[in-house]
Amino acid sequence: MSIGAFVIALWIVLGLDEGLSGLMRVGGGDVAPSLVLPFVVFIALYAPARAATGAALAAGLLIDLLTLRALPGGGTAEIPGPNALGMALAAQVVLAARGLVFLNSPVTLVVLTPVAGIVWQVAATSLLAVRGLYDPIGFRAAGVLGSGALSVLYSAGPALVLWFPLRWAMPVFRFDSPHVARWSGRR
Amino acid sequence: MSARGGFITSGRVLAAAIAACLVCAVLPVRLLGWTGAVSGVAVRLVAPVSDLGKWIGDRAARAETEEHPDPEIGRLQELESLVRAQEMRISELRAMLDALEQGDILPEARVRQLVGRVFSTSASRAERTLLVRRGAKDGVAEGAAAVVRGRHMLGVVSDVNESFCVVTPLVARNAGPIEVIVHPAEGDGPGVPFVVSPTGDGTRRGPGQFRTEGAEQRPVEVRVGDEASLSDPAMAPHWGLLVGDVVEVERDPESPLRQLVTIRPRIDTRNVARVVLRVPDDDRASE
Repeated sequence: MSIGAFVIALWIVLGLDEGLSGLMRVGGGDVAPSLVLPFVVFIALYAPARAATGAALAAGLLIDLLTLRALPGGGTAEIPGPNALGMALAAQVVLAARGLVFLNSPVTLVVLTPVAGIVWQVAATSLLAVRGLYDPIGFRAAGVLGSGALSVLYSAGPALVLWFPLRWAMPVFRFDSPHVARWSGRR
Repeated sequence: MSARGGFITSGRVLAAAIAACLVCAVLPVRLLGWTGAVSGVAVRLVAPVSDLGKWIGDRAARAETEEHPDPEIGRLQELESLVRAQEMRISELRAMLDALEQGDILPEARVRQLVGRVFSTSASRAERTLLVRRGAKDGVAEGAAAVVRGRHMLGVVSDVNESFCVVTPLVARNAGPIEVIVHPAEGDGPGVPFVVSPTGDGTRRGPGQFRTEGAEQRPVEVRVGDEASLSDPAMAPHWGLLVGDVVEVERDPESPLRQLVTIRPRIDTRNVARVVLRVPDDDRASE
């Protein structure tokens, strides 16, 4: 997989995700779709397993670094790790499922995005909840998990929209997994 | 780095990265102070595309800006806040007269106003925290107030980086209690002081003082729809700014003479494009 293409695509997707979240939010404002999630699922569908895991880890780590968490007693902190590990686990789900799905259909991305997203949210929320036991960060797992679950379901919509430019740009990514040779534009 | 052979392989790098993430995920916050600098780099890297997306999103969602959509109403509301601030200042002056007798008096605080664009961050969805593109190099300091529409206070700057700052909204769970004065939305009735704390659901709630007016000592009571203005002694430069509207009034179970109010801000911090940062101007105050 081309690391350069991945970095540029992640930069654009993450920037749009940050910028457009305010416009796309619903349900009192806490539910907003993720554009990064379908992108990570797309990468996990086509990239070699190790590259897909690394890509998911990098995307999740960036989300962690862009996430300010309000601390009890004032101040904020960034906690690297929960979203990175959550995304890496989500990528494993897609890696396990990709042999069973139609790779050339947008429905695959639309269906797998919420499935992987739930894994991401449960893993990230669990890690934050566990650390809350010994290092309180004012984190309410139930509320965050609820809005997070709705957000990943909502992400199925952007997944459908993202499918077409990502599929069009597929040769740029130079996916070199044997299982996607005929879909990746490489002969 | 080679994929096969040698000590450093892609598999080992990936394993090390996962282990590092796992360690960071469980480290206490006090050991994660270094993440602020890394986060700053990430924010700057993402900013060009994020700004473009937010520019489009703000226009589509008609996000709040630093000015009131109707300039005349905005000016009137600013004047109203100034009047309330002056009323509070008069009370303060009375207290300062006593301090003056003891030779101890504080200079009047003034503020500088800076307009800053709001970044959108992932955390904004849940925490409602704002990241504003104004930082220490612009003179922003902790304690500055973020305001929109001239008088609607969103929150207080809680952390300052070189080129941006973090605004903790007044309704954030980690924001402390503040003192406000609740005035009737229309008319010139007397105000009632309340100490309100964040509830975690986007509101503030707290008990007020028991006040009476007139010769017959009629209790002053607040109603749903009344306005709450900032009057906290620790935020004197920002007195008079609108904190929100009273959305619920009940009796304090611990003291039935007092009222318990719930205040909700008019502006949702998740739909803000630009803010005014009111920075207490120490230089001018000391002149």
